[in-house]
Amino acid sequence: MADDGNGRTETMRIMIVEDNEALAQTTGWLVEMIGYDYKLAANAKQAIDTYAEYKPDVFMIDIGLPGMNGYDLCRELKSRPDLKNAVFIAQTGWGESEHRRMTAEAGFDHHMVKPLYLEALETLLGDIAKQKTGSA
Amino acid sequence: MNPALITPVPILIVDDLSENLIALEALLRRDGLEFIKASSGTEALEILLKREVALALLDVQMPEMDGFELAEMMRGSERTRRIPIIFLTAGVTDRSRKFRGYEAGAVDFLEKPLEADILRSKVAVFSELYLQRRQIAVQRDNLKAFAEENLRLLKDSRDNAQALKEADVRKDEFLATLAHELRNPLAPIRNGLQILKMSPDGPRAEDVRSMMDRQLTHLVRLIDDLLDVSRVSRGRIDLRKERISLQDAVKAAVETSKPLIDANGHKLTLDIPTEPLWVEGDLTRLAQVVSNLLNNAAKYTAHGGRICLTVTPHTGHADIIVADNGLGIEADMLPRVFDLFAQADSHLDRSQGGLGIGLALVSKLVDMHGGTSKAESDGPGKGSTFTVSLPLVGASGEAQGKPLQKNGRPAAPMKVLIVDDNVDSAQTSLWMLDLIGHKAEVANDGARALEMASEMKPDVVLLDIGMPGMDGYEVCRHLRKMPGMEQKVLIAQTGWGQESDRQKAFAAGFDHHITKPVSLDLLTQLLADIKQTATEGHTHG
Repeated sequence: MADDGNGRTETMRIMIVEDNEALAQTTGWLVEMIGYDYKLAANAKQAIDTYAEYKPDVFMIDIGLPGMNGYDLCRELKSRPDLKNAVFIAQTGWGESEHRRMTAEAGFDHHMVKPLYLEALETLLGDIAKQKTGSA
Repeated sequence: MNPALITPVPILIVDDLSENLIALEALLRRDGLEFIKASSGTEALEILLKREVALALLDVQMPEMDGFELAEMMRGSERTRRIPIIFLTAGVTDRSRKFRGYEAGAVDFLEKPLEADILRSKVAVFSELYLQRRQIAVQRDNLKAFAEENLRLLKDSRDNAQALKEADVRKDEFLATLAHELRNPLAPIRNGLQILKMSPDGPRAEDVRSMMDRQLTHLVRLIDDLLDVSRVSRGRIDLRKERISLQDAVKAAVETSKPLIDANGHKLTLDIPTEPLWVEGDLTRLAQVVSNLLNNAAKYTAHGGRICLTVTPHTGHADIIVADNGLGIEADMLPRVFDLFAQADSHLDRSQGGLGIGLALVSKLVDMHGGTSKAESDGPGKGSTFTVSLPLVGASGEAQGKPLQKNGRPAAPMKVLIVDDNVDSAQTSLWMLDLIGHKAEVANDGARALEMASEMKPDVVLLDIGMPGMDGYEVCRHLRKMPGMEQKVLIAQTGWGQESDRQKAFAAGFDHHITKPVSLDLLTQLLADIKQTATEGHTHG
């Protein structure tokens, strides 16, 4: 996160990749209410096409995306030099260790099970924001 | 008993002199023996071509073909070589002739004049042998049939095991799909709640609420489908059949499916005759059939597709045809599209939703209406056409079923007692009633309900059926006996919307039966109707 020159840090930007429209929108609103900026992408292609302009700090990616799934999207984005500092959060309906292993293997930093708990989301994003400020 | 064992034992007798044949038969005749007579070797061979025999008694001295020659011929053919032969010779047979006879296959020589006892006992021995052979053959055939039957059963049980295995896999897949589909609306509902918790009247609040309403409607619809499927597969769906016009069902279906069709940017074309087509059917279920077909077309067609709904009358039946220019169906999938849980997952973008039970319901419901369902497609990308044929009934009678009245009438305040052991359900019902201007109170069990009813004398009691201890039916029966409650309106509220549940509720003394979850609109409408009826009752009474 870059300092905006006035001693305040710029708002953390989160790209939400989710094909369930209602879920995407409400997750966006939650993120906004916690105090971060968000942008929605309905599928992998949209995410790939639009991230460069938006420059997200964090990706929240649904695993069960139509077309390219969340694992492949994560691998693809991770391979891009301009995203070497981005944090990846997997969002799945599955909480079993098998799925956690698979998301970890695909390069995700975190794994959240749907439906989201506000407190968990707030804590996680807060930690990420702190780390980013610390490392910046 | 096997017929092979009761047919008489056939014995061939060959002699050129007919009096000899007659005498021989007379000598040997007894139950269980059949004599086939031939007067020459040629005739004997002809008979042997057609018939199986147990024993051949051959006269040696015959013109043209003698007994030895006949025996040699019999020896030469696979069919007859094992037939035992007894030669009957006139006078003493010399050794060389006998030897020739044995070479030709004789088993014995008997000299004329014949000794009756000896001949009879020899014939008896060969008959017995023949019968034993035949019995063994029958047993062998039985064993073979038995082994084949065993093989078939084994194959059947393997097939069944395989089918069970596949059904199990499909069930697991279905449960996974189900979990996914239920979470789809649940996840945004939870998000919405959290947003409202943080900011109950924020700028988003209205959007959030209408989103939650939509998602909840979707969730209820999914669960209704699930319940329907479970009823269908247990054969416990009830049809409320009456004479209805097919057009009414189709119109209701179009109304239901229009939002989904519009949301996907499809163009819907209708081709429906104006002359009413009468069917004996359940309006709601037939509308569900057509609506499921329309939803299916909307889901499996890429954005901006074309959907045509055509109704064509024929003699005795009418076709409802729903055609789209969408994804189409693979040939190997076609026969299975109406199977339960047979969702075409391979090319389905899951975000379209659905459990893959809509078409199964279509087929079952159409079946129950005495109709047929059919799916056609020229293959992937070539669109699909679904045709439902329903039998038509005579044109007499009039349209039945009154149209749903639009709500909006202001509700006159009534005293309502809500009885439900689910505290949240009761409380929210109370809030709803409060909102539409009624005065409601809550009881969380049957005993409390009876106490409160006698104090507050409610106009209407909204009773949950499935309560621990005293259930809703029992509470209803007690209420009906309570002075002043005989004429009050009792409404049963259950999770089960089957006809048998309704009947049970009416038998217990309920006036109405509604299925959970109850929408505000329905409650408003119902209470307004009740109030109106009560007022009219007073006016006229």
